Amino acid sequence: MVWLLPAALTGLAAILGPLVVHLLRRQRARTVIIPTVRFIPTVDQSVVRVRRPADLLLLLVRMAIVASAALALARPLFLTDSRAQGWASRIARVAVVDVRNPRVVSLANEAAAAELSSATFSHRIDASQLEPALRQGSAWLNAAPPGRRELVVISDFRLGAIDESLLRGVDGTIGVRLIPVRVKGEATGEIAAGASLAPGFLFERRVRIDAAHTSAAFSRRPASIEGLSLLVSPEDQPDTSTLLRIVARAGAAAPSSTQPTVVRFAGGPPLSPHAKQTPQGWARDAALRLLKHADDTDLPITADVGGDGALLVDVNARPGTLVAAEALKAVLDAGQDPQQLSGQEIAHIPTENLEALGRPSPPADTSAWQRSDESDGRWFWLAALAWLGAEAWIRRARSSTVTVSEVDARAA
Amino acid sequence: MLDPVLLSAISDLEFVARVTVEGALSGLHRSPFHGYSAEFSQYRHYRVGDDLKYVDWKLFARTDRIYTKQFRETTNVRMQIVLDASASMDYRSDAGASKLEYARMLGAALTHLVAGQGDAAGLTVYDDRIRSYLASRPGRSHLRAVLAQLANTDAQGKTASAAALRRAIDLLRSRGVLVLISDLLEDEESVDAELRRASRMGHDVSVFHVLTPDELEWRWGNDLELEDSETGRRVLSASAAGPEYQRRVEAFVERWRARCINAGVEYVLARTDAAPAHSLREYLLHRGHGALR
Repeated sequence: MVWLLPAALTGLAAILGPLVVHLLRRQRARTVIIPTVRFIPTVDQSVVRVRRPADLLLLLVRMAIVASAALALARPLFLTDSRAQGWASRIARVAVVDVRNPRVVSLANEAAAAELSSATFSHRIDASQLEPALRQGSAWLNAAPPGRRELVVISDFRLGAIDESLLRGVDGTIGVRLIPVRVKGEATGEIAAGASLAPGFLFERRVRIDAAHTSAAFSRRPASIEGLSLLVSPEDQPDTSTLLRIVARAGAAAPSSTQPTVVRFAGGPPLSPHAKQTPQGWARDAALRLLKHADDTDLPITADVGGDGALLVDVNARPGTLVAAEALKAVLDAGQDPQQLSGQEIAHIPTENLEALGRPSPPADTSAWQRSDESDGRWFWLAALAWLGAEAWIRRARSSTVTVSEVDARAA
Repeated sequence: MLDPVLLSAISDLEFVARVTVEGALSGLHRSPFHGYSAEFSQYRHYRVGDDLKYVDWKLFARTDRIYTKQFRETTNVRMQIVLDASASMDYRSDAGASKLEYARMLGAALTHLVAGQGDAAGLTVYDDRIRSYLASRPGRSHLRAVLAQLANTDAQGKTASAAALRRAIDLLRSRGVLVLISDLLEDEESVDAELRRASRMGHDVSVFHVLTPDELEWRWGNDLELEDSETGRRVLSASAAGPEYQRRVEAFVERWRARCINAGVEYVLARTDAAPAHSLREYLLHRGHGALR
């Protein structure tokens, strides 16, 4: 037997209460009203007296009442085989529903409803960011009653939506299942199987468009992109890799390796107004696209073409900000035809990769009895009630009224 | 004679009074219903026990039969019953009548007795003050009023017999019969003074000292707190106190008996475990062959 609320066992000290009361409580002699006491000699005897040992049974019963109540409050739990089997048949499930893509939300809802309805204990989390949602789900499962535990992530799993680093934060005793939901007809370009999603790396997407077909290839690269020079202040360096990672997950195209792009993050005073120069070649087209995009989106970007033909972009934002990420994505995409890029924007993690990321839920851990939602305290409450009845019966038997017959009997 | 417990259970006090009186008079050779007065009423055959001084010897000489003379009442006895209805009178022994119930029966019987012979009876009920007063009057309607007052009397408050006696004596005006029914658990000196005063004034004074067996004999063991019904004072009972208690109670009774004898007052110890008729009979016998003067 284990105790779910062992602190309540300190209540056992309360059994001293009846003992103290019995020791300290003095009982007045029973009173009989008579016509006069003038003839009764005064005797040197206290009107009050300590209860006699005959009340020992009453004392014990009262102590038993308190003890039973204290034990019941401590929520006792008998760890029987049948209980363990019962726990093994239960499952606690959290459904994390990715609601970032409105087109798949209804499908995600259906999938979530199916998952939750088949669980013994369930919880749903709607997430616009998976990382905090996974943490929240793990916390809920860690507090759930004993049983198998499973975290289900329902999403369209676009490229970069989830990786091992995110799932590393989930407790190893919690099973993980990734359920993809996708809209029919949506372009489903996928990266090659086996690609890692570890942080610190970028996925460079190479898009090839020719007269016959359009194809895209992805490759893993360190968090630096060839042909792209980021100029940031020393204190902003830590934000740079994060910035690149965000941009890569957003699906931006890598710049050309032959024509370098220099992005200067100012993060200080506003940049000068848009350059009016007319760039040349690839860099010129890119600069014009950037300037137009900046006008359309109010991004703090200016673009120019250097003397060596490099595309020079000034971003008036700190690298760690979303504005910086958006601006950098615009820079990376500036060398590509926007119409052609739009078809490549949607890329999903392959199903086999998702399966590889998941893991089955382990058997219920009986050592997790501390989280049990049930206890055997009711038996102790019943015992306390029984003792209470016994106490009332004993008290009634002990405290009958005094009659003159009794007095006569005593005198006899 | 009927048991006091049985009588106390009967709500019809008039019936109780009649039964008590008849029980008290049964076997008495002289009827209290005929007082001695100067006006001749009739003859009746002599019965054993009749006072020889009422035998008409001349008639015996003429007829050779013994007749006794009876006289029509000319005196009008005025009786005032002074009834103690204090809280101490509420006490009853186990399965017995309470002192007040017993006193009520005695009072009703006396009233019935007096009213039956055409005399006047009245009632004063008191505790620490006079709770009700009915002047002495003859007649059946007044008898019923007295009985109703008796029936409606309950026990409460402290005792102040002396003041009640003084008031009853003052209201009696002419000489009469004064009957105090009480447990006399109070200041003995002041009550004794009033009884002596009444006796000196020429009243025919009687005292029914009503006590229960519990009071007359020590019945309390240990472990009981005994509370005075009137003062609220509490003492603890102890078996060791029994002999001393017994001695004090007996002295109390004897003291009252002696006080009454010295004051020329009729004293009757009325135990509530005895039939009321027994107490009444004892009273009538002591008064001289059952005559109420």
